[in-house]
Amino acid sequence: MTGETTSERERDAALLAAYAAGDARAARTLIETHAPRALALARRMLGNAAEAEEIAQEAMLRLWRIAPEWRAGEARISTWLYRVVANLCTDRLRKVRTQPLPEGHDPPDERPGAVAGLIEGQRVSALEHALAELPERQRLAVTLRHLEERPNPEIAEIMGLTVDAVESLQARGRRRLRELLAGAELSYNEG
Amino acid sequence: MNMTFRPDRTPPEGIDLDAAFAELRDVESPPRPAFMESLMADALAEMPAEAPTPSRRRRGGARVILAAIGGWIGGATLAGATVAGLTVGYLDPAGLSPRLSGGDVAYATDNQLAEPLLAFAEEAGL
Repeated sequence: MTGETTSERERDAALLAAYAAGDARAARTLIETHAPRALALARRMLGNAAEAEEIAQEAMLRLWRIAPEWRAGEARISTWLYRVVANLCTDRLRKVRTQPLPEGHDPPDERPGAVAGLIEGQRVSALEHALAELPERQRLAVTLRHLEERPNPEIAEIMGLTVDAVESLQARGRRRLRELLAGAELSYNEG
Repeated sequence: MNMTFRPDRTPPEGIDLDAAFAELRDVESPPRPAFMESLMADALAEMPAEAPTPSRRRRGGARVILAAIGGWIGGATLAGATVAGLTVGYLDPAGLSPRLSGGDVAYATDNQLAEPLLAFAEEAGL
């Protein structure tokens, strides 16, 4: 546990306590610190900006409601929020899915997005589309590690898995991303 | 939980994923200002009620009872009457004996309820 992590945990806990005592400025600081990250994760998981805002808003609402009972030193607010967002996204994705997919199932890339991204020279766009193709848990593990830049022990806490399981998901996710992006690049070169 | 950071074990090959992820992080669009303000509105709406001020502090039980009997003056009057009543009850009311035993008109009536009391007083030598 780094000193920075402890400091962040203590600072956030103090802000949440201040909010519970009626300090509106503490609420604004917490929003500016955590809401963008919660929203970014929801965007990556759902691929829909409006739905992502709903999820992030619900997660922040739950934070305000738990504020009076928040016990400093137990969990980081960022970790708690990521976990809530991940669970809400999972629930949302399961509702829209007609049939549950087995873990590791890789649906064929039927969308032109990945190829189109490279044709236009947009590696970023191609990666976004490829990420959206990953199975849900691989996408979450890869997003938290490589876009949110969270350490794997924290990701394990967020996902309720062991660190080894998280690393396995990330390795499979990265392998699949390379396949998707290489296929797109090959199509582009051959075209 | 072991919090030691372990780097990605995936061997680097093919497309530079890390560079692509870095680019993707850089183009992350910030939240809409209206969305952030809606979060702030939620926070204010959910904010717990302020702690009660001393002037609004709930009054204790003794204060409530005192107010109900008329304040300090009413309380002192009631306490005095209580002490007087207890005194009369414990002390021998000799001053009342002549009136009870002397055939006072008030008790020499046809009042049937007074007769047993008079008889008791006579037996007791009052």
